[in-house]
Amino acid sequence: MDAALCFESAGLIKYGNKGNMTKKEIDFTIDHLIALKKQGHFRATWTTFDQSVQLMAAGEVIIQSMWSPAVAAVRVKGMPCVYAPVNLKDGKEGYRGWCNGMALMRHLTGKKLEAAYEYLNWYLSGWQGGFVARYGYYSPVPSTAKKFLSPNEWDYWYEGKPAKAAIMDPYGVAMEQPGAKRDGGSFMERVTNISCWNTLMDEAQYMNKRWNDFKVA
Amino acid sequence: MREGAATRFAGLHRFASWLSITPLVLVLVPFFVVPMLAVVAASFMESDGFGGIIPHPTLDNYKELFTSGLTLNLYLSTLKFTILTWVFTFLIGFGVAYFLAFHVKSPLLSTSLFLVCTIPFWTSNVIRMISWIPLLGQQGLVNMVLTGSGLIHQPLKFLLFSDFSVVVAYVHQLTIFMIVPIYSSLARVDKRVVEAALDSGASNWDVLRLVILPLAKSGIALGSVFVTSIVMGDFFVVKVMSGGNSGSIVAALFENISVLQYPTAAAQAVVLMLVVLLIATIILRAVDVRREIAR
Repeated sequence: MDAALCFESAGLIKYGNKGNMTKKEIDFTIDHLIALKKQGHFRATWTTFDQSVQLMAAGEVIIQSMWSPAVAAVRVKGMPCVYAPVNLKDGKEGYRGWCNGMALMRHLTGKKLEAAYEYLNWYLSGWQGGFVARYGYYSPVPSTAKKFLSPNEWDYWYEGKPAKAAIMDPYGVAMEQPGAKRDGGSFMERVTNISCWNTLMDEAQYMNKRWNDFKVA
Repeated sequence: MREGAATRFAGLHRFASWLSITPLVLVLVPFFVVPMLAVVAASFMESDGFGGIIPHPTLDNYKELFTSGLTLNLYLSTLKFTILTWVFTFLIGFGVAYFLAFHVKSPLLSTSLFLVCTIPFWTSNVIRMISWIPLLGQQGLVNMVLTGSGLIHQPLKFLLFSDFSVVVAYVHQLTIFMIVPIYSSLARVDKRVVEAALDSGASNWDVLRLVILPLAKSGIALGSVFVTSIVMGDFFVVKVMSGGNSGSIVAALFENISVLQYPTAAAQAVVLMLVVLLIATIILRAVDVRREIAR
């Protein structure tokens, strides 16, 4: 999907919905990726958090699609890992958004159901939201997460303001110096610049087959 | 009367042989045959796209598999890794086994050196593979030495995330599977056979080619079965060492499982199993391992 964003902003194609591509759009995307691979543009692909961090930290790659915590992990090693500015929505890429949530299983009853609700309540009560906020993720309930963040952290991560003091990662290691600003600005600015969402596409099976074509090409 | 006793004895004998395979059957049927049949059955079903299997018989999974160029590419890629790995594990494995069996005079030393060969295998496969990454990377040890000594100016990129690194990892992991069976067949070779051949005027090369290689046949065959079946059934080494740039049959199968396409994956598994069985049959047909071992 990141590739689709790039191809569209390069003016090569206009997608109907990048989150649910047609077979034709998938073919276009993968064929172009294969052509780029043949020209030697891809060093490696990653499937785990650790791999993405190592690729960047070991200098194997200079640009990659990366999760926020992975970027944080590279930054605490003292490497200047920055987000490429792809956040202009109109006419340009915009963000690729994703979210996940928890749901209860249908067969739960009685004590198990109560325990599950208790866990959900704890999960949304703010500690988790505060923890992942220091990675750069957002909580579904920002108001509770706020209680677990210092005003400086809240301003930096949610409001997009310059840091007044050093910003720590979730484990207390300094990641940003005072004065640093989050890429893309505040929560509102970032969320309104999302241009497509990760989904299980209708053509997921076909996408997977073509992805394997790319891998083996 | 005597005839009756003989028949009864034969009946008892047959019963006893059934009894003696019972433990194996009790393990194999529930833990191997039944799951296998489930996979075969799933390969003929339709998928609902969300991990569910619709019990509606279809041949589409196989049709898709046999008409897709992807299958051919995946098999070619896996075959390439298998052949390269086989060649290098054989050359190194045979060399080591030959040295241990014929050039180390003391049997005690030979056995201890053989055990030394197994020491690297006390750590896990994964660790032995991962440790190649810092060695072969663009800023890894090998490239640092080469650029530091002025031999090259640009780091060699082909060392990591390439077919090269995949084969290196395979050879590193699997050579022991060649050394063990070849060593065990060479250790049983009567040294006088070699002397007799030399006395009859054979050159060293002839001895190796005409005497030792044929006597090592069973070991080579067993080692080859291990190496080919492991490489063909692997996806992790390809995935990590090629940096996701190369595919293999099982890697593609695994991708299908991860997007919940179980019937397609099942069909791939069945075809792969048949191919590996075929290769193993060919190897074992070429060498009658049972006879060679009984020798």
